[in-house]
Order: sequence, then structure tokens, then C-alpha cells
Amino acid sequence: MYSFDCTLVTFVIVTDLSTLLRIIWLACSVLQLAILALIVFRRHYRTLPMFSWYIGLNLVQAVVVYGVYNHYGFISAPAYRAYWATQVITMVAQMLASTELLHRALQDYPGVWELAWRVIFFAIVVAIGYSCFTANSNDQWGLMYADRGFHLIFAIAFVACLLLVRHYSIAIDPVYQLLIGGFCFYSCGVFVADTLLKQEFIQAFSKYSEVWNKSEMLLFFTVLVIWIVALRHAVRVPVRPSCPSGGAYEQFAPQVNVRLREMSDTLRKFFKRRAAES
Amino acid sequence: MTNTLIVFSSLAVLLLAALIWALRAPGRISRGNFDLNALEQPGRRHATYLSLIRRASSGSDLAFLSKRGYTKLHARLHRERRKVVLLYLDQLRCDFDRLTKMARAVAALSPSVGVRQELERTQLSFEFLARYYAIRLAFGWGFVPIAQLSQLSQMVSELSIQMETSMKEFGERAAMAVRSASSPLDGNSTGVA
Repeated sequence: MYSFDCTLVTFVIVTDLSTLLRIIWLACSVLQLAILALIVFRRHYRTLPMFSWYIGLNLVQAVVVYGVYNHYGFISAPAYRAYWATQVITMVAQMLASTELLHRALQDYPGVWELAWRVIFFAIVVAIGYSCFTANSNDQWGLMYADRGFHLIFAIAFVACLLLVRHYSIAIDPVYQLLIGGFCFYSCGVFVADTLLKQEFIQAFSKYSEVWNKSEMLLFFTVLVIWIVALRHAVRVPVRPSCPSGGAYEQFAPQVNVRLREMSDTLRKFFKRRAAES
Repeated sequence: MTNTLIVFSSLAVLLLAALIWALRAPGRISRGNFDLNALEQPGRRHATYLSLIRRASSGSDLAFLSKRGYTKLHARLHRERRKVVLLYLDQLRCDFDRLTKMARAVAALSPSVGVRQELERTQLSFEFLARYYAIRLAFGWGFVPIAQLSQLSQMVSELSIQMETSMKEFGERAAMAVRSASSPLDGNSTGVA
């Protein structure tokens, strides 16, 4: 997962992956294989096809970049390009997999899903705009900014969706909770790691790239463990029930809001009278 | 530590805290688990106590006690009246919460939700809470004179009666909407993928 231009990190002494990094990488690959096995044996691929693709694509990315590292070396321009090119694909897969999870979790709540997908859509537009903006700048840290921007926007969007779910007192399946929670946790960790790398370690710490690689991989390792725990259980699929007619909400919601406004206005009047009397 | 690092780290901590809070089960309320009785519950009979409240908040009583020199009794009456108003305020907040809960239950089960309506309700909730706490603080710090106390008591009790009628009507309708939506879930409703 080495991701920096070799011209940028000229003072990095290591020319190959460290042993610890190799071990973490291997452990992550093994865990991803275990997740794929769970997906197949538990038949999660039926309900979570995009999540299955995400795990599969991550494994493919690992194989591809490992081949490139072996051939061109860990610190090389082809390794840098191979990593970031495949990373874009896994990022898109991450977005699709998380959206699929949220959609599955809210399949019985079409109204709330309607609100949630708007939040996600807005986040996608912002992420693309931000990425285009940073990619156009000549700063050699452009990709790092874009990566940080993506993870920041992703975390905000999905945490907002989960808060929305909580606001409507909807209890979603623990499997979905852990899977979506894992994505959000990973994104929070990545944007902090990206910030640490750019802001702090580059000038003060010669092995900052090692730390960054290890921290990101350890974060991913933790998330994979959480996902394995989650996927050991089957996802409950409720029978799709009928919803109240659309008209019920359209009639009910404005009337309730009028009542709520009256209540709020009563308290406002109290302040107005006080101000007038004083 | 640079400013950017502080901002981003704080943001990450905030997001993680929000994530943990959002993932905590909210009492396992879901489709089919909505408390239909709670939705239909008409609330306390505020109208029953209205004449007592009016009597209790009458300014003439306090003026009479003050004129006669019953200072201790005057102070006690003032304290008691404050308690009554605060109780009514609490009740008003309960009514507000129940009404928003009903609206959320209907919205959650509806096939389509109006963004404008939902945003308006969120804004109203914030406004109401801000005013509610401001009034409570004013009472707590003793900034509210006796005349205001009687006035607020009157306003809140009148509104409570209006709310009682609305709550009954909305409660029945919300329960009906939730029942019609959740009836197919009665019995063995879940399968396993």
C-alpha cells in the first residue's frame, strides 16, 4: 500500500516492505479470504452483492500491487501508479457497498431511505468536486488531499445517515450496523492518518511513510475483524410489509407541524410579553 | 500540533462519538414494535385542573396576603405556584415530545417523506427546546415576577387543553397508520438470508 512518489520521499531508507508490514498485509489478506468464505457459506452474496465485490476487489488489488512491488520495487513510480489506480476502484466499491448496506438496512423504511440517499448523493457530488479540485492543483500531495477528502466526506455522510436512522428510532440489524460502522471507523482513521502524515511527520520523522502504511493497515485489520464477527451471523430479512398510503403522511405531517408551531409560539409570546412589560 | 491537525482530529473524535451513539440500540423500536397504546393515549386531563390552576395563579390572592402582612405564607404560595407552572411546562414538553414521536413513527413507515416537513419539524423542535430551557432558567434564577408567573401558568394550561384534543385525534390516526403498515408483520415475520 505504498503510495508516494519516489521523488517525494527521497530520504526514506527502506527500499522494500518491512517485515511487520508484510505480516499485517498477509494477515489482512487472510482475513479477507475468511470474509469471502463466510460470504459464500452464509450466502451473504445474495443480500450483499456489492459488499462481496468490495472484498473481492480488495483482494485483487493486493495481488496486483504485490506483483508490481515484486517487479518494480516498493518505492517506484509504477508501484505508486498501480496503487492509486486500483485504490480509486476500491474507493468506488466502498461507496457502493456502504450504500447497498444502508439500503438493505432501510428497505422497510422507504421514506427514511429517501432522505438518506439524498445525503449520500450530496456527499458523492462534494467528494467528486473536491477530488477534481485537488487533482488539478500541481501540489504533489494532491492525491493525498483527495484521499483524505473522500474519507472525510464518506464518514460525515454515513454517520449522518446513521444519526437519521437513530432519529426515527429505527432498529437496524446488528450485521448491517457493524458493517456500516466498520466503514465509518476506517474512514475516520484514514483521514486522521493522512493529516498526521502531511502535517506532522513529513518534517520531523524520517520513517513517517512506514507509520502511515502501518496505521492504515492496522485500521483495516481491525475493521476486518469486526466484519468477521458480524458476518458469522445471518442477516435477518423481514417480509416486505405494506406501508401506510402516501396520503396519510401528506395529511398528517403538516397538521402536526402546525400544532408544534403553536406550542413553540406560546412560549415565544411569553418572552414577547415580558419584553413589552419591562 | 498544527491547526489543521487539531481540527481534523477533533472532527474524527466527534464523528466516532456520533457513530457510537447512533449505533447504540434505541430501545429496539422498530416496525411492529411501535407502542400503539402510547400513540393513542390521550394524555392527562388538563381541563380537569384548569379552574384550580386559574385560581392558584390569581394575582389577587398574593396581593391580599401581602397587604395583610403574611410574608411567610406569601413566599410559600409563590414557591408553590412556581412548582405548578414548572409542572405544567414539563407536561407541555411531554406533549411536544409525544407529538414529534408520533410524526416520526408515521414518517418512518411512509413510502414517501417530505424533506421540507421533516426539516421544519426539526427546526421547531430546536426552537421549542431553546425556549423551554430559557423559561426554566428564568424561573430557576428567579427572574420571573409573580405577574409573569400567573400569565405563563394561564397560557400553558390553555394550550394544554388544546393539545389534549389534538393528541387524542392525532394519536388515533397515527396508531391506525402504524397498525395498517405493520399488520403483515404480526406473527412470524422474519426470515433468514
